[in-house]
Amino acid sequence: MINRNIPLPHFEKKSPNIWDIPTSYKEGMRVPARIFASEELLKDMDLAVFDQLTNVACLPGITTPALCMPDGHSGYGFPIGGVAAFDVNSGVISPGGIGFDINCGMRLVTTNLTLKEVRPKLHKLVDLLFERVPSGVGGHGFVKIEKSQFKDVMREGARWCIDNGYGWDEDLNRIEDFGRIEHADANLVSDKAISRGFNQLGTLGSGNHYLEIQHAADIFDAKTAAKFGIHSPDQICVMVHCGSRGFGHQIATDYLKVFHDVMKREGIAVRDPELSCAPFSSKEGQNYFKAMACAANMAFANRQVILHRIRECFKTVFEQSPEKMEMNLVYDVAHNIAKLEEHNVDGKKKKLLVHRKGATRCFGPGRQELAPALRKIGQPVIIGGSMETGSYLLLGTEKALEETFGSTAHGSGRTMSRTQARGEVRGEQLQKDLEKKGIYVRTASYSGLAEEAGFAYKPISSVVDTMHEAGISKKIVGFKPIGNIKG
Amino acid sequence: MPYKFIENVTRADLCFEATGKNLTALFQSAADAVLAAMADVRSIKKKITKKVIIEAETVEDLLYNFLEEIIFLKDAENLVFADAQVTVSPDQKKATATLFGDTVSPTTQKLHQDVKAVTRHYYKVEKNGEWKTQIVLDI
Repeated sequence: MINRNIPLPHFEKKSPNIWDIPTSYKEGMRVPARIFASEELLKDMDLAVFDQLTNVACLPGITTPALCMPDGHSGYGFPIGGVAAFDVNSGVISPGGIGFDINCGMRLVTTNLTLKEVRPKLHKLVDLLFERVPSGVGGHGFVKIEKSQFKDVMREGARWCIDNGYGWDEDLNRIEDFGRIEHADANLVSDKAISRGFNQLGTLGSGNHYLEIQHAADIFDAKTAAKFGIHSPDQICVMVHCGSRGFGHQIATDYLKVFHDVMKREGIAVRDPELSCAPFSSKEGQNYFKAMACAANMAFANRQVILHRIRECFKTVFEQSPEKMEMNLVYDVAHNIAKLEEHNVDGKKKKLLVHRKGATRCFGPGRQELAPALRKIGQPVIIGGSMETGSYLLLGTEKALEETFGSTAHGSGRTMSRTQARGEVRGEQLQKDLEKKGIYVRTASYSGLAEEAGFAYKPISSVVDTMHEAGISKKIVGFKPIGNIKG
Repeated sequence: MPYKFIENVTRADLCFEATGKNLTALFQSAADAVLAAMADVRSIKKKITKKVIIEAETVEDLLYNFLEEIIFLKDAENLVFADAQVTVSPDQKKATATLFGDTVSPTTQKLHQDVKAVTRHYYKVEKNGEWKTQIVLDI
C-alpha cells in the first residue's frame, strides 16, 4: 500500500558532501532536493528519504531546494533531517514538516564535577534521576498545575518556570527564543490538547528521548569550549532530549484535520496526506503557527523543569549546591519547529518560513536572535547520539546561513527500523552489555531500549564530520555517556 | 488479531498492516496493533473500563479518530489497555468500543513505546476481498 517502488535518484554531485536530486526526478517538483551527506552516508540512506524529500520539493511556495541533513532517515511527511523554507506570501505551513512532537529538542548542562568524583556515585545518581524524572508511556510530571495555569505555560514558556522557582534567570539567555515564542495564542488550542498535556510537565516520554550523564571526552576547540564552560575531558555534563509530549502531539493532530479541509478549499494537492498544509497567510495557517508556538513554549518549559529536577538530584547526591557545582545551561535547541526568519536569497534579504524537522538551527555570529554574549561567538548546537556512541556540541557558522538557512543535523539518524533492532537484541541483554562498557542505563521499557541500540544508528562522527567539513557547523566537544535514563 | 509490524517503510517510526474480513474485524485488528505497540497486553490488568463512541463521514476518518482516541486516553487519563472490543455500524459511520485496562504502572506492567500519534503517511483503508490498512505510528 505504501509506495515501495521508489526509483533510485540520479544524484548530481555538487561537492564531496552535497548531492542534488534534479526536478526531473518527479513530476511536480518545483525545486531540486539537496542532501548533505558523505558518499557513504548517502548510500546508507533508505530510498523513502528521497521519496519524502522530493515530495517536500513539490509543496507550494518552496523557492529554494528542499534540504536533508546527513542524519536524514525516513519518517512520515518530511523525512527526519528535513529543512524547507517557504515564501511567506505564496508558501505553506505543514505540521508534517515539523513533526507531532513540536519543539522536540536538546539541552546541555555543565557541572564542575569530574568523572572520578561522579563514577562512585553514578548508580545512586542515575537511580534518583530515574525516579524523579518520569519517563516512558503516559506518565504524569511532578509539576502539579490547573488547566488555567497551563495557559500561562503556553504563553510564557521557560519564563513561567523561572517565575515559579524552577530555574535561574540566566537560564533564559541560553535557550532558543529565550524560552518563549511571543506569538503563542492559547485561545487557538483545543481543550483536548490541554487535557492531554497539562499534567505532563517534567516528563521525558519514550522513543529516542533520554536524560544522559556524559563526560566531555573529546575537546576539539578548547577556546570555544571554554566560552561554553567546558574545560577538561573528565568534566561531567548532562544532556536532555524531549519535547512537548501529548500536548504538542494533539495540536499537530488537530490542525492536520483542519488543514485537510483547507486543502480542498484552496485546491492544494499533496503526494502524501501527512504533508497536509495550509497557505501560511491563511487564517488557518496563522492559527496553527500560533498554536504550534504554544506547544513550543510548553516544550521549553518541560525541559526547564527537568533541568530544575536534575539540579535537585545532583544536590542530593553530591551534597553541594547546583551553583557551587556550576550547573549552567550551555544551550537549549529546538529541532522540530517552523520559524519566521530573515535570510539572504539571491543577494536580497527575505523573510521566510523555515521548517526544521529533525534539524537544528545553527546560526553563526551576528544574528540578532542570539543573546548578546552568544552573538559574538555563534550559536551552540547540541547533537544527540545513541546511548552508546556519544553526542556533540557544535557551533553555528556564517556559511550555514548562506547554505542551509542556518540549519544542521540533530542526531545520528537511524540505519535500522525499530522492529528490526528489536529482533537483533533483547533490552535486558543490552543493558548488561552497556554496564560492562561503563554505561549505567535505567529504562522504562526494555523493548524500547533495544530499539535504541547503538547499532540501529549511523556513526554519529560521520554525521558531524560531514557538516564540519562542509563548513556548516564546527565541532567543539564530543561527549561520551556514562549514565542514561531511557524513556 | 490479524496485524503485523512491517519493516522498511519507516526507520524512525512504527508501521503496521491490519486486515479483517469486515470493518469491525479490521478495527479490532488495528486496535490490537496500537495496544501492542504501547505494551505487552498480557501484563495489563483489566481494572478500568472506558466506553468510546466515534463518528465520522468516511471509513478512513472513523478508523483514524478511533485509534487516536486510544492514544489520547493514554496521555489524558494515564491509561493503557489490555483489550478493545469494537463494533462498526452497518452505515460505516460509527465505531463503538469498550476498552479494558489499567492506570500506567511501569513497575508492574511491561510497557513498550509512548505512541505520539497516528499519522496519515500514505494512509488508506481499502477493501479488496477483505479490508486492509497500513498505518505509521509516530514514535
